[in-house]
Amino acid sequence: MILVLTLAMVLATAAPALAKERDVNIDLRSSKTAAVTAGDTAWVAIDWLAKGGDAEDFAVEAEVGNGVGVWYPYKSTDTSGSPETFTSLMGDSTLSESEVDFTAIRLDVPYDVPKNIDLILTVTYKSNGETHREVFKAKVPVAYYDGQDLQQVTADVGPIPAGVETWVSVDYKGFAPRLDDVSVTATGGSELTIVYPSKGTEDNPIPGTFTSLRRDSTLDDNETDDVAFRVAASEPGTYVLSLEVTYAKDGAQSSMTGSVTVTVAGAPPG
Amino acid sequence: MRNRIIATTLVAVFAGSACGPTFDADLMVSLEARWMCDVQRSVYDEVTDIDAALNDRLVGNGVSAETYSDFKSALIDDLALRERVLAEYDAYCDG
Repeated sequence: MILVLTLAMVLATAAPALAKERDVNIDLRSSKTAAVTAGDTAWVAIDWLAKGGDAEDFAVEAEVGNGVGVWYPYKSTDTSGSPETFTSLMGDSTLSESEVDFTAIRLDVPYDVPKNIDLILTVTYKSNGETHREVFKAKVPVAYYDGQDLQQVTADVGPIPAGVETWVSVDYKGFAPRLDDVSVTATGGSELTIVYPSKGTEDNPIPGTFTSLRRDSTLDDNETDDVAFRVAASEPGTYVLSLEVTYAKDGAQSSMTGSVTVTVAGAPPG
Repeated sequence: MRNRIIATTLVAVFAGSACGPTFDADLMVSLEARWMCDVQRSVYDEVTDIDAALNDRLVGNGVSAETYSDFKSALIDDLALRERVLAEYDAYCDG
């Protein structure tokens, strides 16, 4: 009896080692990603499934044509904030058998792209001690924005004191995927003095002729940023400034006009 | 003898409650399957928006981050649990 039990235990222990190691199959779960908007930057998620075994050290590199830029999540261990050169899974770096998990990549999509972009995904992983490499293809559907580019949010500023150059700011909200080189000029009557932020350099002290967005020169969709300039009026009253915002969209220059009402109160005491 | 059986049973129950899953498996399987499918149907401005979208789902379903973490840990060692998620994923995503 003891001999039989011992033999059974030996066989049970040896069985996994004797069994043929199974091949892992990686399955890309969808042949297309979520739609991105031309001119926009967006993260997309891509689902993967492992069948027949575990895929360890799972990594994906993406290759896209049509001038589309690819970024991966930032290195969690890198204080300099540089991105990885590949993307892995949400959970961990192992895609276990029958597990669904996703990878995330960021796509910087120019305005001028076809309605379907080819996405080539090279997957590398380890299974049964060997490194495997597989190439998958997917499509990135593209939507095209066709609406108002941006909106002036601020209609009134002040009250500001009379006789003093005072900073005022005007908010703009972007609707188009991306507007570059956004700048604003303001025009008032002879009663108003307008001073832009730039005073030029020490060698070339020419004052600026426009003002730019506070954060950077780009206005993205759903982003609100402001421009600032100084205004002075010698007399109290209500003044209307004409504003012209210029920007580049898809490489072409565009502009939009608007106005802002400036209320000037009495001069500060003293 | 009867007391010994009761004591053994109690020990087993306590041991089971201490080491067993700390989540509602049906809920978590459903939540995970739908999340894995839906996440690829949207685009995100920032990569952190993906985590935020997951967190919104957890909060909406009354699931804490710790519970979700427990579930994800359980998935690593539990093929049957992964296959349940996969079956629900297939039914939801391909259906």
